[in-house]
This record gives sequence, structure tokens and C-alpha cells, in this order.
Amino acid sequence: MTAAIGIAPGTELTSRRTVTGEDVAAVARITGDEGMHHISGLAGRQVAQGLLTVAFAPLLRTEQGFRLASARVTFLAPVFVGDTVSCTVTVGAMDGASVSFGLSIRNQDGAEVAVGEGVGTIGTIGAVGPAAAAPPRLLTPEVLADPYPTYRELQRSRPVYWAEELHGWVVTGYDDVYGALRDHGRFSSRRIDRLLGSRVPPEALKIIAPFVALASRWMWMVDPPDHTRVRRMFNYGFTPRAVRRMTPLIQETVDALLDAVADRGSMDLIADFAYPLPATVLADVYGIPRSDAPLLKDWSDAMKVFIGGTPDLAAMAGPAADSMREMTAYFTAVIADRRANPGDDMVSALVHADVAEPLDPDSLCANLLLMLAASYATTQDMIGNGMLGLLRQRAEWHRLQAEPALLPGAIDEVLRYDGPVQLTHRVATEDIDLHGTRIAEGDLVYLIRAAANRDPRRFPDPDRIDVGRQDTGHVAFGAGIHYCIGAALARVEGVATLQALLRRMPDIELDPAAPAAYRADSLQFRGLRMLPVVFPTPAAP
Amino acid sequence: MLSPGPRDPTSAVVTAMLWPPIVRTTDVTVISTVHGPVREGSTLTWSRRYAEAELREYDQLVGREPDGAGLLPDLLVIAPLTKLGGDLNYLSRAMEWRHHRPVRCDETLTAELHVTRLDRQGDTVKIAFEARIRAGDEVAVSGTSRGVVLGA
Repeated sequence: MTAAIGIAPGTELTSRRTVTGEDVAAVARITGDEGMHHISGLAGRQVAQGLLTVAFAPLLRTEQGFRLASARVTFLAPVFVGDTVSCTVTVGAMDGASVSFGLSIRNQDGAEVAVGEGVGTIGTIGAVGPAAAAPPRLLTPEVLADPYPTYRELQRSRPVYWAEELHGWVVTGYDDVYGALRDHGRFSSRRIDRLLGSRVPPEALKIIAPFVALASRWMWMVDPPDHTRVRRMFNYGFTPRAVRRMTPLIQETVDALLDAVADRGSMDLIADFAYPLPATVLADVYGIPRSDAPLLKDWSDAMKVFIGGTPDLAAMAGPAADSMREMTAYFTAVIADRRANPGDDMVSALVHADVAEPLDPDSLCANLLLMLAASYATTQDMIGNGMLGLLRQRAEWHRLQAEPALLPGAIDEVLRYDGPVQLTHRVATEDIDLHGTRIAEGDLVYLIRAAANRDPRRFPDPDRIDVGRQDTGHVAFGAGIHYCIGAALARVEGVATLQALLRRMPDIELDPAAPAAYRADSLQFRGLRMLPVVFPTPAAP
Repeated sequence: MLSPGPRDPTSAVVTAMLWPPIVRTTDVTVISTVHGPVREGSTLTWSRRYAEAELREYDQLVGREPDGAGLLPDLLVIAPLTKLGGDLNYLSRAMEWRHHRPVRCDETLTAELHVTRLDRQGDTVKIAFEARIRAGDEVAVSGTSRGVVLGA
């Protein structure tokens, strides 16, 4: 049974808050509760009022549409100013409008400071305003398949939202996301321990230790000056000249892939095109045999397990760690080979880069793997998500046919509309007040770039693709010092794909018999499992 | 055999000095408060009505959207009882309460805290209450609470 405010038996509603002296003072002002232990402190520490301890708990604080009928709370330990309390309200039996619930409040050490239970009613008082939604869950199949309605609701009602399942704050507004991406001083990228430690049970930490060691060297996981050093070196692989040199290879690969399917009249745009394109391009860019390209996908998928917000990380950590070991061994050998036998590829360029502080082999290997993970699936998903959007909003596809000059902007627009990288994590380096919510130093923050890209306060009519949209200030490639190093390469691949499809298969359309399906396996990486399309075959000569 | 002699007024004084009588004055623990001496059976009361600014501050504090129906948040309905608790430097260990009817924001609330137990045990003063919130003539909330009085 589902209730009006979106709860059902077993639903867990959570909140989290660091109690401040100002909070205690505010409760004293509002209620008059000025006990000496609240104001002067107990053994030098201010004790939060009991009302303050429970006031952040969902339901108890009285959301609109919910009224308490009765409650019982037992305080097990004092909550002091500076403590961070996590409240979990678990919905129990529901009978008509009546809802029972259990309450557990823990401090930052995990100690339970209060427990309780209660009964309330939902929406039974006619005069109560419209029901507010319960805090949403993000790691559900439904949300992973289509997160945008949830993002919009978060923007509207909870722009800074503590998601217990992610152990972090979720930020969705454009200005907030953009500002945080650029503010690397207060929003640090050095987050791998927090990112994994909070989601992995202690027994699995040992399994993922090699990945943590590797990923902690990634340029997107470090701050200046380490970031500056790695980024400067990798820029050698992505100079405008380097990207220009790749362009003919990309166009050639695109045509070859379309040649292979042109006579079939149908294809899965993912399996037949979007998957092999980046695999082939990356193999050539890295100077490894094309026959090894399928390995790149497996390894890329393995890394996504760790970093992508996978719902059941613990269960998948073991196999993914095995893949990581294979991948590291493979690229360590590639680096050693290029050191001895330099070629015309990116690995050779990086190994022999003329920089003041060359990277040690482990860092070089780690960042080559990052490049692989960051560019492989994202290219595939950029093509899949973008084509699905354009074929669903077919007027824009026709518009591109009529106005090819819009193509470069169209790539940015489809990335804004449904980008492959949905979020970026950061760690707060100090207490940050955002819209009245205090993000505590050390807290993990999820900057939802995909939500920012559909923020109606920034982008008019954001749920519609407009290939002529002039505002290209989206954050699909990030912003600030961690702006995607491969953005130019991605644009080249995207433009080459659209150009070829518009030229060779202008009447391509979604296969009415086989709907597209999202993988829906990650909050961070969004892409399609399959995208069946049909198109007329070339007329026989 | 010895027999009692005539009563000597001074002997009673001496006896009392050597074997002082047990006077059960400590059965009743009394604490001094801003409401005067409080003992078992005492009832403390306090009345108030919330200002709009206070309601806004509460909503902001707990991240709650204002109630369009003009009803007081449930925790603010019971909050006047916590004010009385604060006056006693009371640290609650347990509380339970029942709402009998919703309360409008503009209603005057009267908190009643009736002390059902006040018991000094060493350095600890344990206390228990029966509590009510009245809105006008009606009981809006009733409940109980127990805990300790600090610094008494």
C-alpha cells in the first residue's frame, strides 16, 4: 500500500544534521527552553534540547500532510553541539490513513542517542496543504532509468538533500553545481576514501584496496598541485593538434561501422556502432591491437562498478577488483614497451613527454586507465543518449538535416539534455552553508550535473532538445580545473557520428518493435543497453 | 529490679542528645527553582502563543515548508512543556505523548507539568511528570516524561 506522501511499509526516511550552537540558541528563542545545560553547557559542552534532537527527524518534524497522533522517545545519550545526528524513521504498519513508525537517531560515531516509535495520520485533515513528497530514493531501478523527474523535484523542494543511501549531500541546482565545480578550494576532489569507505562493508574494504591505491592517483581524484602536474602532462595527449590528427581516423571508423550494417535495414545502435566506435578509436589512440579492444570495455565496466554509484557495490567488488588487476598488468606492460619502442600513439607521447616532473610509472598507468574509463563508456553513451533524444524529438533531427551548421552546437545540446556523466563527487573542506543547510567539513557532496543541465532557472524549456540553443553553458563536461580533458575529442566523435548518420541514413528511426532500454545500473553513468533503429537500405544499383 | 524514677526533664534532653530521634523530614525532596520550591505533587504552568516570526524560524530550522492550513507543527505544540523543563534544568530520558486535537497557530497554549516523582539518590535527582497542553479549555496533548534534574 502506498500513502499520499509516497511512503509504504518498510520505507526509510532519513535526515542528517550537524547541531550547532545557533541551532540550540534558536530552539531556546522559539520555545523558551533555556536549561543551563543547553546554554552554559555540561562539563563545558552544550547539550542540544531534546526537541532539537528529534526536530530534524522526518515525520516527527511534521511534514505537510502528516500529523502525529502519539509518540514515545527514549534518549540514550546527550547530543552535543557539534555532533552530527542521522535520523532514520522506518515506516511500519499502515492502516487507512494511520501510519506507525520507528525512530532511530545516531551520532557521528554511530552511537544510538535516541530511539522511539509513534503513530500518525496522513492527509486526514482536510485543511492541511498539499502533501509533500517523502525524501526520494535515488538508487532504485525506476530512478536510475529516468532520474530527471526526481532531480526536478529535488531542485524544487530539497536543493541540498542528504541521501542516506549515498552517505552524502545531493546538490541539483545549476548555480550551486556550477559554483561547486569551480570552487576546488572548498569542494575537494580528494574523495576516493570517502566515496568507497562509506558504501563498502568493512569486510570488502580489503578487496577494493588495490583499486583505492590506483584511483587515489587519478587526476580527477586529486587537488592542486598534484592535479596540475598530472593534468599538464596529459594535456600532451589532447592538444588541438593531437585531436585534429585523430579526426580522419574517427571518420574512417564511423564509415566502416555504418558500411557493415547499411544493407541490413536495422541495427542496435549501441552494439553495432556506439560500442565499437570508441573501442576502436581508443585502441588506435593507445596504440594497442584492435583485437584487444573488447578488453577495454570489460575493464571500463569494472571501474564503473567502483565509481559509478552501483546499488550493490559490495557484491560486485570482487570480480571488478580482478578485472582491475588484469588491466593494470596489461597497461604496465604497454608503458614498458613504449618506453623502449616509442611509437605514434598517446602512450608513447606521455612516456616521453618533455616535462619538468614526469609521472612515476604507477601514476602514469593509473591515469591511462582513468582516460580509458572516462572516455570509453562516455563516448558510447553520448552517442546513444543523443541519438535517442534526437529520434524521439524528431523535429530536431529534421532541423539538423536542413541546417548542418547547427551540428557542433547540437552535440552540446544533446549532452546537456541527457549527458553520459550525471554527477561529480566532491568533499567539503570546511563547513559550508548552502540554502540554509550546513554541509559539514568532510561530508561527501554529489553535484548532479545532469540536474543542473535541466535547471529551468538556467535553461528555458530544459526538457526539450533545441539544437539551435545558444546557451552552451552546460556542465556535461564539468567546469573549473577538472573540465573534461577529452571534451574536444568527444565533440569530434559526436559530430562525425551525426554527420555520417544524417548523410547516409537520414530516415533512421526508432524500431517500433523493440524499444530502447537504459542500463539503469549507475547513478553516475547513464547510457543505453540497446537502441534498436530501422532505416531504408540503399537502393540497388 | 529497677523501676522508672520520676521524670527528669533533663534526662529526655540527654537521651535525645545520645540517641537522636529519627525525623522523617527527608522523605520529601524539595528543589529550588525559578518557580519556587518544587516537590512531588507540585504543578508548574506556563502559557504562551507563538509569534509568526517564531514559526518561520522553526520552519527554517528544521527544513519544513510552512503549513498552509495554519496548524501548529506538532513539536511546537508540546514545546511549552520543554520550556518548563528548562526552568528546572531538566534532562529528559524518556517522554511519550498523545495529541488529542490539532492546534491552530494563533491559539494560546497552557503547559501543565505535574511532578509525580522527585527523588534524590546520591548526587542524582530523578523526576517524573504528567504533562498536559491545553488549548483554551481543551486538552490538546497529554503525556508523561521522566529524567533527571541537573545541578539540584
